[in-house]
Amino acid sequence: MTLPPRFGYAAPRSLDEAVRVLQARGDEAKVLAGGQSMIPLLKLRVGAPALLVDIQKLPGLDYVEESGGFLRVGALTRVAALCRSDLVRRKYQALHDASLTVADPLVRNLGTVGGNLCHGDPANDLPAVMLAMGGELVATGPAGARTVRADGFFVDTFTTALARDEILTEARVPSPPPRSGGVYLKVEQKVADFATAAAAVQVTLDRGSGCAYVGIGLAGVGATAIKAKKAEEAMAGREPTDRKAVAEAAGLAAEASSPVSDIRGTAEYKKRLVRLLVARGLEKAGERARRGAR
Amino acid sequence: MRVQMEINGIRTESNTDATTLLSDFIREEAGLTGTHAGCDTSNCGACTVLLDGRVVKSCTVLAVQAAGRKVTTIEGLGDANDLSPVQYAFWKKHGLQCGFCTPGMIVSAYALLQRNPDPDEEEIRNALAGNLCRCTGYVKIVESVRYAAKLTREGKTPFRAAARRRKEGEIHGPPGESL
Amino acid sequence: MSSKPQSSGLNNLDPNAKFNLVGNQAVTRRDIYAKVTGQRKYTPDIGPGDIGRSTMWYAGFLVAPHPHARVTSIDVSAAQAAGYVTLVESDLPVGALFGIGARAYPPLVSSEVLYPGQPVAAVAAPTANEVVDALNLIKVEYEQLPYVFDAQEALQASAPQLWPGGNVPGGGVGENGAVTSGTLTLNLGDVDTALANADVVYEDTFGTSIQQHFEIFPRGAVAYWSGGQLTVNASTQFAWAVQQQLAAYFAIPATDVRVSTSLGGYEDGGALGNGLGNKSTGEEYVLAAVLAQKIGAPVKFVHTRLTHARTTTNRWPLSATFRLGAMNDGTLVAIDGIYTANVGGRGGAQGADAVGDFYNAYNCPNMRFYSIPVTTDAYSNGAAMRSVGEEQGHFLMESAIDELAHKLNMDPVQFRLKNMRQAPNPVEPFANLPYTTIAQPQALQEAMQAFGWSNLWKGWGVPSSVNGTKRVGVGMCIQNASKGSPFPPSTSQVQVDPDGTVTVYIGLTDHGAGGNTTFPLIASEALGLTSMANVKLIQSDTMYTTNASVTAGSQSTHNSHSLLYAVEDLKNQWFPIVASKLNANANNLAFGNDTIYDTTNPSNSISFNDAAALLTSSIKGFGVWQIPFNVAYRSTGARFAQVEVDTETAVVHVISHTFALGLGRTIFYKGAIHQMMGGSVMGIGSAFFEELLNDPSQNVTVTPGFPSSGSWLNPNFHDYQIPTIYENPDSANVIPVENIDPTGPFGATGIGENCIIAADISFINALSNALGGYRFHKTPIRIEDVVEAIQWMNSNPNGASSTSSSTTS
Repeated sequence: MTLPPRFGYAAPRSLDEAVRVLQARGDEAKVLAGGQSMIPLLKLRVGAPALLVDIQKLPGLDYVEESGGFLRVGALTRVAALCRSDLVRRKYQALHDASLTVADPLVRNLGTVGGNLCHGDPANDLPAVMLAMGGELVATGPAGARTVRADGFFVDTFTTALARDEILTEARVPSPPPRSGGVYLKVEQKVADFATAAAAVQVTLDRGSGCAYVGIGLAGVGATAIKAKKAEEAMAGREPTDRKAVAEAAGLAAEASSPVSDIRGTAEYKKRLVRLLVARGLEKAGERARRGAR
Repeated sequence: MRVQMEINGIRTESNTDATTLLSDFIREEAGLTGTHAGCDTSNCGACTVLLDGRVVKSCTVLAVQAAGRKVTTIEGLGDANDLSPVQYAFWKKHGLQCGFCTPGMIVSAYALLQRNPDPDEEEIRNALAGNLCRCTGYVKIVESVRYAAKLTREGKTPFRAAARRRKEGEIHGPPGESL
Repeated sequence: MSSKPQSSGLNNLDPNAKFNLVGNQAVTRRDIYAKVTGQRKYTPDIGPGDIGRSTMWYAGFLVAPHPHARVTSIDVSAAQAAGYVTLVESDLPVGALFGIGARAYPPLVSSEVLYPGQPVAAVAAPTANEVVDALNLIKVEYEQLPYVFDAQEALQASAPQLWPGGNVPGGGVGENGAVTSGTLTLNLGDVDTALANADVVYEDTFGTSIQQHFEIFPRGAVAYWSGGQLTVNASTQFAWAVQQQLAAYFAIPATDVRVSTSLGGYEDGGALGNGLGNKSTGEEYVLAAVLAQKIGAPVKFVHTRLTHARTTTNRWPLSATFRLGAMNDGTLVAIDGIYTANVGGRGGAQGADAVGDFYNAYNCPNMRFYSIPVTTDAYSNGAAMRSVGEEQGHFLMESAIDELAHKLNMDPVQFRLKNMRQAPNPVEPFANLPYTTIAQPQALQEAMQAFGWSNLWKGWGVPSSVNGTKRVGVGMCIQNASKGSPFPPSTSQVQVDPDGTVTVYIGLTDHGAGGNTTFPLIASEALGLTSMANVKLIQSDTMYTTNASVTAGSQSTHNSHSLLYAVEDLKNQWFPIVASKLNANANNLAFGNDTIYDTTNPSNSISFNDAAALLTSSIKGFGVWQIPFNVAYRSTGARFAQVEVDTETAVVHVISHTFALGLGRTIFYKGAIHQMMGGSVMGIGSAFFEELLNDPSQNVTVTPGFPSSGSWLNPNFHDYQIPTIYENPDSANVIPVENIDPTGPFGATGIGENCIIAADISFINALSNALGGYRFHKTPIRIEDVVEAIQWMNSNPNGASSTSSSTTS
């Protein structure tokens, strides 16, 4: 059996205490939440933190609620809770779709929203949704809480904008106005595999049927989750049923991606998939927006 | 460190390292070897247990994370005298071959039926997507879960009757139905 | 249940015979109860208490990360100083080899590493957690040497030479013509003339990849000594063979070695999970024993997934270049095949085995086969993985045959019906051996009908339906595979106690296939019983059973034929006693419906239990069975598949699969059906996912987040992908075909391997049909292959012409 290396373990009872521990030992510590990314790596002895700071029991970080114009998700909310949430299913479809494709049902029961976002794995599903929906992340550190835009949070593979003494406490996405729709499309070689490629698309239609808002996030096709900004801009004011516009945006999204060839397919194939998923995603999100599915 | 949890309704307490995985705690400290470890990469699901009623991979949880919580393993679902409907269905419909993945499959199926007593095929596949099997091709596993759902919905407990017959001294059970 | 008692002669081959238990669809696995309650103990579950000890040590391997290297130094001092027990090659008996016959090898690297993952050292620690710590304390230095992964490259003069004699292992023709290694040439008729005169000649090359069993249950062993006596609880399909190997290794009498798969305390097959050919022999059996001897305590060895995947046998990559000749009326007139088998670093695999099947499938007068096994540094050794070569061989041959039918523009089913070997009087052509039985053409006809082929097949390259970007194609293939080598004789015993309890003792094991039900079922039927409730089974333990052959080669059902002889022996002891009670002639007595009765006056009978009560002590019958050599054992069947492909995403999904296979006579119905279903889904992995990859030669990157400290890329369930519950077909229809085999018990034949053989090519032929008739040349079909096929289809809107050469004269 492959087993974890030895490590110290701390289970702070409050957010303040957790931050204090990180302040003291942040360089050698890792934050443990659901553990569904961390523990597999520990078992392979990848990285050997001297201290695990288990934040699982911190109070008040497990919630899914709408307030102040945002859907607010506590960092310790299990991914399965998003899958089960009626509110998320009705109004935040891209987030709901993505939650359902996170790993497998066993992992979703323990894996947390915060962990999925903080792990910095480019193949994770939720970062792409945050980018597409214009989400924000709340980081709590010694100086209190600060808000970081999702666009800018995913710095590099396994690296985020969180400081070593900060803990992600909340993820939030703006509540979409009427005539909005979202979708998350993913191709994976088999269930629970890393995404070969995936795209999150969020659309709000204007009074006509042009796009008032378009957000596009990509997963699995770069060093981090990618916000396909040029593709978003290309759709501004244009209709998701406009095949020419969609093809143009999809092409720009593919250009924004930088996948690598691996056992899941060649870089070229993955770019093709991005084009396809973004095109299908724009159509589907537009359709959901028109139906007012919210 | 001192770690205590309730496994199958029995309080289990032990001095253990922070590095101990829940699967090892269950197997070594509680002596319940029905929870299997088939891979090192958290992929196979043979170690599936219920943690506070939800299915998890016990090889991907530290024992200390489960401290103070309730764990249910395959042994906790039913025994010789009282098979759970899912266990009975896997027996009756032959939802296994070598049986190594079976405890995980059954625990996952049990959790599915707890929240959805009438799953369709797609829902069954969804619920068992984290459990790998190399022998059966899954066909009979899906059939077993459907049958377990039917038994559960109808409130039938033939498995208890079979278990009683087992007590009467037959060997390979649940007998009476065993040729 | 029939109203009249049945005759239970030595082997009832009447195709219309009615049985109590044989083929009875209500019979369930005997061990299923222990398995659904978590009570079944597998090797990793065995603790010290299970073997009456208070402590146990835990062991693991250090494996070489390089494909080809010289070990320049091994430093175990730090591990020893920390209190761990280490083993390197110099600690082992000089020159002692472990393994089967020509494939025996030193269990630890002596100087040169020949494949990535070769064990270099072993350690034992007092707790399982410390094994990795102990391994990390061992320092090995390597001098890396030039390596070669590809078989064709290894044949070049400039390639690194792995063995003193070069990269083509020497060998020859073994017992009964079985080619053990080395090149092979077979020739029948006049291939060159036939090709010259053929209307259509088709030439093409196909290949396969390294695949691994990846059964969920990892290999392992628990070993301990009591004085000079060794007990090994091994997860092995070969308890008796491993006993012999261990005795030879330690130079002790075989009677001082007990090998069991059942030490966990369960009688029904014990601690073995799925085998798939992986659990034949392994370094851990002997090294656990050496460590146990050194430490003086039981040692448990359980593989990590890495060592599990990289130390054992693999399905070897086989490639073939064919020239096939046919006449315009569809008659197959020539098969010319040149095969290259990449047999891995340890070598010695049987590349020629694959060829053994091709010439049996088709009734072709002119055939020539040449095969060459090549050692490479790609992996350990090419040997058993649910078939020994036939799985690859069927992909190669059925790809080429399908394409030939395509060239002829002939319905692929009609081509097979016209050319395949079938009843009556099928003969293996080279050795001229008569088949024991054949299920063709019945299997093909039944499967075709059940599948609805005539409605679904629209012609070559014409999908059966197109819906937007989704195209659905259909395909088929046949199979005709050998059932392993003629293994040594197999024995068994059947005991009856005065209280009527029956105990079956058999050295064969059960690795999920259902032997633990099949064996007692056969004995019970022969004893005329209507239930197995009072029948016990002791199996796969050299202490309690008698010598058995191996549970491999789809032959354990055949080998359990010995049970009929054991029952016959029992009769000779028992019937004279019963005869005096019944005032009958012992020769006229027979078992039937839980009685023993006088065949001349059936009403003169005694119940089985009353007859047992006549015994003053238990009696035991002994049976031996040797599969005859002068016949061809073939398993035959046909497969049809329906596959959907999304031409935008290139994602493939198997919609349905219909599989008819000759079972001889179905003994354990549920077990057989499930084997057929499980094997078919395993074939989906073979067709679309499974390939054990090495790093340096492959243009692929490591999965982010997983370490690649060696030459291996995917020795884990994350990256080596086996079918999940989503991959199983929406509809799976399996059809057992009864074709009585007179050499099998009650006419049965074994099927284990044949459940996967040819599955992949049935799916691939269907995918080809969906994509304009594009011919795929290599398994597994990766996503980029599908992309390429889609692009080819789009640029060849009429499809139906191949990228490979063909000539029409």
